[in-house]
Amino acid sequence: MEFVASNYAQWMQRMNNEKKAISAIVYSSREFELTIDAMEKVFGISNEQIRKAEQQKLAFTKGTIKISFNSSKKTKEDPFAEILIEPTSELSHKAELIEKNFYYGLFILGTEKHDSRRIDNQLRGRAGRQ
Amino acid sequence: MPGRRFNQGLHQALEAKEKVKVQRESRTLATITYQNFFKQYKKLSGMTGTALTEAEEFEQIYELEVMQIPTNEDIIRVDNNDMVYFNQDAKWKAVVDYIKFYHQMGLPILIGTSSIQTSELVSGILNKMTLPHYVLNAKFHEQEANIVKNAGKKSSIVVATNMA
Repeated sequence: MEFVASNYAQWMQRMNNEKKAISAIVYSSREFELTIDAMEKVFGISNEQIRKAEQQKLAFTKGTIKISFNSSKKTKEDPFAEILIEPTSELSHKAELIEKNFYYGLFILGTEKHDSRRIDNQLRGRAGRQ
Repeated sequence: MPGRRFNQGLHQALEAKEKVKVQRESRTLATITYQNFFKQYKKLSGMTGTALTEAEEFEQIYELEVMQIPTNEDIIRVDNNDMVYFNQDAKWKAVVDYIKFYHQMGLPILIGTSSIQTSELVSGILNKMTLPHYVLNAKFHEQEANIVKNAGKKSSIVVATNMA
């Protein structure tokens, strides 16, 4: 899973370099920690520093990071946290925002509905431990 | 299998081809639906992962109650809602976007389709993107075990038909 986190962090850096704003949604605390750990390495920010982004916008060399937790998470489909990275912009215009879900594990994409819901559920169920 | 014969001349054709005695067609004397056949049993039960959505049918046809057994650990799978597109073009464009992003991130991907035709359409799209992938549609039986063995590895892409 660490290599996925590392790929996500590198993607964030690439988008940041292209002056795009990123909103990354993670769905569990474990996946959040994985993502944050990878971001520390890629962005060269210490753990103490990145934890500050949980309270307020954290400025780094090429922009700001803000972490917001979803306190009203009830179901597993509710986001656990959002990591928002905005590039530093000299101009006043807002950067294009790219929203992505940071999933870990098997990604299942059903391209069409089957006549029977059972079959659709079977497909969902292919995702490892449920 | 002894006592079983293909009908509508198929068995006779095979017998002629294999140069054995051509025998006459067997006649069906009685048929029964699976539903009525199962109801002959005094005790009837079953276990499956997908019975809950069909609970009403089990109740009506078999007078069977469906019970959900809780999982040992919490389900961590994220089940997203359906995405509906105005047309096929928009849908396949979105499919491409999803695959591109998550494949790049190294996630294994499983793409579900409901017909062999669609699975081949998806395979064509992936070929255009020059992404290596496997197609599971019951057409290549020998390879299937191997494909399934390697599914779920880093960056693997498998296209499956729902019946396969």
